[in-house]
Amino acid sequence: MLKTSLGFIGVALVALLGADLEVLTLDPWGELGRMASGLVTPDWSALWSYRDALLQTVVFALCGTSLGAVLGALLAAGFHWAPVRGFCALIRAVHEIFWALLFLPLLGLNAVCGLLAIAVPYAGIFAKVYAETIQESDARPRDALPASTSGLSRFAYAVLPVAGTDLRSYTAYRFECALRSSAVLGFIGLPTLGFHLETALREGLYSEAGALLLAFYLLVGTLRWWLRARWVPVWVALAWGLLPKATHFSWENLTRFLTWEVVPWPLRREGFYAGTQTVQWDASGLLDWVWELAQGDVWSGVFNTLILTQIVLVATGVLTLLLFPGASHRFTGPWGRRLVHGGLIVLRTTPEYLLAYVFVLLWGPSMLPAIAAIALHNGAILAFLVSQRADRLTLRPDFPRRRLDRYFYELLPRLYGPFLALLFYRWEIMMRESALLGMLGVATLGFYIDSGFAEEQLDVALALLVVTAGLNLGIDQLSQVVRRRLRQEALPGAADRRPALAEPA
Amino acid sequence: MTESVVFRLHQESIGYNGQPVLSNLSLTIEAGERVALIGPSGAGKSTLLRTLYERLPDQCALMHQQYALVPQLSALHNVYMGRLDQHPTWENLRTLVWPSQQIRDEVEAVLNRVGLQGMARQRTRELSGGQQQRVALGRALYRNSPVVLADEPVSSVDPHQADALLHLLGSASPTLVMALHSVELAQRHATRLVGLRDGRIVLDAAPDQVPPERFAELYARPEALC
Repeated sequence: MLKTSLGFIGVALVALLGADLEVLTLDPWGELGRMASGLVTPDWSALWSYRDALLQTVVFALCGTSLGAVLGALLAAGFHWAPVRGFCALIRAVHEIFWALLFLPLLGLNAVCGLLAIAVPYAGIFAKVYAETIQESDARPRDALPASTSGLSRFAYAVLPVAGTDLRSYTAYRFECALRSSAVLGFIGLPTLGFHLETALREGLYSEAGALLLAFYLLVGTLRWWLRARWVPVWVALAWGLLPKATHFSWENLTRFLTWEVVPWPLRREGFYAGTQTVQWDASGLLDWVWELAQGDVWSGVFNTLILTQIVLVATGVLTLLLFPGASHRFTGPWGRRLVHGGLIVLRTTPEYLLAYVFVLLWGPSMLPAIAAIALHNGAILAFLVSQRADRLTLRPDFPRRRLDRYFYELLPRLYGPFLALLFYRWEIMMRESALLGMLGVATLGFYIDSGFAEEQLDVALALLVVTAGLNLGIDQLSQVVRRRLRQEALPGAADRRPALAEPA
Repeated sequence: MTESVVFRLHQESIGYNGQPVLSNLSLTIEAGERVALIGPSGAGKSTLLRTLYERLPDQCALMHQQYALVPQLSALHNVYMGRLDQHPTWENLRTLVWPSQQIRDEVEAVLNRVGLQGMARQRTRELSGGQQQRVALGRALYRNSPVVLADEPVSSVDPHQADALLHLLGSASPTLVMALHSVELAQRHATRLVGLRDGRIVLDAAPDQVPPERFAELYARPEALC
């Protein structure tokens, strides 16, 4: 364990040499002060004019989660089949925002685009978690049924009721994630909270931004009161009713997209200049195109994404180990704990994209904002999970009185294994976020994907998306190997997949 | 082979992960017998029951300890599950949402027999351990199969209730094979005792033909381990 940790720390230190950590703005502290004062003097009157955006944020999240859950359940039924597993891994390896960018030229900037951007990756995640939850649930009731009971009856009587609670609470946790995704989709132009938040932040209207952000916290913080199980069908039905139906979808569009726009440029060149829009095979041209892309955007994007991921992985780990004692009753009194918990909840509720956006305003577009945003968001989640484990440990009655002794001799040795398992479980998530935050100016894969879409080079954008997905699948595999080597469980249990901070005790 | 033989195992060896659980075991059970499997834990009683079940899956009701119930479903549904294979799937799905009057009547009659009057709508996780075993028994009764195989059917009820429940279990089907932890219960409710130790049958006789010291031998701790 120590060797692995030191190895990863070494890699991160080397990566720091290649990382651009400059602060590019003149007065970051002054800006931070103005932001903080905006947060404490929120302009509630502005909120009324943004009520539609708030509503749409919830509507997108509800529709996206419900559609994703239905598709995910269908995919979970075929999860024993390797091609289905591969398909699910592929669609969840691409971030919601990238899906939105991909659907934009197809469907236009509208509700269906936002809906699918959430539903598609979520379907892949739901399929995996649903299938695993069912697999891990108690099999004894299933075995006790009459031998020739039909599959569907078996499922309805002895699988669904047994696994139901876990499935429900995971879906609820995902809905909370969907609220974040939905809000962030506003940053690329969809009519959700992020749209106005971006405008307000860009124009320095921090009191408006503060009100919007606080409204979002309120929305997420009150989830457990308004998202009651029995009300869910009503909310979902209402959301589908309120989802704007206008869309620009046409088969013609789709066909042109698939058979023309995403085809590598050398194959299109002649058809383009002749105006015939025909594809012509050109092997050497294609090879040059691939080579040029690989040398340029792909190399730089992959390099920077991996550098950022490895730095962030270690930074998150360090932050977790520093923060978790504050949230555990082994170290901190009730009031201090409440304070730390509150901070962790805020950090986890704030979408990492928004955090990074704010840090870019503070420090300019180097790697620094991305590192801080991803490490804070993930560190907050992990610190909470590790503190929960710390609270559950039974210590001998004569445990060391001094906190530092207690930390290094009793808790850290016991918690280090589970901590590493959780950290590496999120490795792939951190990589996905590292790629995404390129959209804000760091030269990770997201930067090149975004410019590909912006310059209407859909062939380049799609190729880079495929590379990103491949990299993500690679990290996922690697993380499984590392976790197995650490002799941790290959997968954390159901509770760890659902790191709900606001869960009732 | 006579008509009345239900199970015939001949020099059967069964193991998990290369570890033999039953070795060279031969056993014939005829219709109408009430067989009690006794012996220390780990002797292979559950494995033997499962082996018998796999011989005739459609003619058996397998009654585990209460763990086989679905705690989230009502007593009515848990009892009804004994006949899932005898109804078409659509009817099973409908029963999950809205059981027909006929099914409700049938199941309630069974629940009355096991002493759970008026508890059809209770979720089984809200019931006590003893009540849960009654539900499991109800499922075996409702299944109405020619053979009942029961694994510790009365492990979590008091001795007085245990007698009543085993009496009911005896009326559930013509042939009964049950694993019991208590020799006294076995003597009172079985027509034949089969003692297992280390995966072998070391005792096979009618209850009144077993001298008491044989039981002590059956449950004796292996001296080598002391």
